[in-house]
Amino acid sequence: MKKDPRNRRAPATDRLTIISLAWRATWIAVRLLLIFWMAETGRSFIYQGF
Amino acid sequence: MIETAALLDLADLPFWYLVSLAVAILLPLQHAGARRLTLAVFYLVSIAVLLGFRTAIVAAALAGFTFITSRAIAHPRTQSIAGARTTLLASAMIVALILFTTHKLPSPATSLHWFSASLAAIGFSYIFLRMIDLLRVVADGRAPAPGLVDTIGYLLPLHMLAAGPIESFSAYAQRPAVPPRPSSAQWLNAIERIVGGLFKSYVLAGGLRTTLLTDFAADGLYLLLEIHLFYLWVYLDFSAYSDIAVGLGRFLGAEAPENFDRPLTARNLTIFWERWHISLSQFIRRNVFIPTQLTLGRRFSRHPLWVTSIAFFVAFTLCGLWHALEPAFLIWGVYHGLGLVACNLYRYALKRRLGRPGMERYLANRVIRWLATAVTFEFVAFSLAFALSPAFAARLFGALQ
Repeated sequence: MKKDPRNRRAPATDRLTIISLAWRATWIAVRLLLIFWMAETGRSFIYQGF
Repeated sequence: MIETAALLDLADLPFWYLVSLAVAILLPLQHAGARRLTLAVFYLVSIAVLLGFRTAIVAAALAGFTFITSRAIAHPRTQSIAGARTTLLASAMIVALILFTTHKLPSPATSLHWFSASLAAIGFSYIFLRMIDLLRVVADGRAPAPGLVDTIGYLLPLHMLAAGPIESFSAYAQRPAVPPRPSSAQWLNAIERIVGGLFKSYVLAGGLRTTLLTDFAADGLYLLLEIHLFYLWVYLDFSAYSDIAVGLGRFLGAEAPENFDRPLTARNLTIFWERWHISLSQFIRRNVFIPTQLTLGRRFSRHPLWVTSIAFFVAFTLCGLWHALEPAFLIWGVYHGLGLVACNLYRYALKRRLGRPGMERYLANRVIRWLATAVTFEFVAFSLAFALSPAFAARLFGALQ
């Protein structure tokens, strides 16, 4: 009997993309949290008025 | 350095509100003229909101001056009068140079203080280079004189104001009128570039500065270590701003050129300058190094090595003075100029001695590569500490006396 295409598992590449997307989104969120936490650490050398 | 009340600060939330608003307006816009006008208005309004109304007036006046001058240079009547184009270009450059000097010298405690403060707030050093590039490209006939909206778009890109990059006017003029709509993967890449840049600046560079840097107050081995950490800090902080500019540029449809490409692992100073502040190196190459080399080359065609050496020296001495009209940066420029001359002479001598096959073996040798990379790293680290930290320069001079 033919399998219902809706029940097929996502191809390996798609699954990888989902994992990669999830990882990238998590890493962005973690970095944003750290940025907000550290944003008051002071001015960088860029602010010397070049 | 010039003290100012307002400088473009990426920690300011209004900056991000304005960028988000501009992206929301620009996204559905498919009309080239409307896009360019929106960007120009966004730049000026953002400068007014973030840096003050007076600063926006100064920025608009700079754009107006560049627009009128470039139009005059490209005008058919100017082209028909012998020497008129050169005279106009030279006059405009002198005006730009006077403004640059005003910006770089200590701010006068007079009623003109606000003007110097405005130039500092919009990062006039970068605008100065863009003005020169635009005027030279138009004078050489490599691109037509831009309209007022395009002049604002080129001179005052908000995402490139604080620390570059410096886009060439030729590249700006060749940008597609309506950029292709980014795919979802490109959106994600742009977000990652911005977040990565903020992370580098506020977490990595900020953390490094507060935990490990002592402003060269430490002694002994830690002082030596700090020279290297200081280089790392400058790289992280500076390249972070370029990352943010590149990411924002993709959102706005006003792409910023890449400015850094693994400079810490450069095996010699020539390669270092191909990878560090790339847009500045390319500007110097286009507007100082090549013209100097060509002019001298015509007169002294029998001495190409001398010509190249002098061109390197002139270009990097001016590069030093562009950073600051101070002895430390003059010495920094001369030091890098001499370093590049030495690098060029060494390569020439090696080529003569080893021949092509020997040179290929030399370049492939792993030990030599590691050694060369370490020497380059030390050379640059020392120069940055000297130029950027008055405390380090003071300690160095103190130790020498």
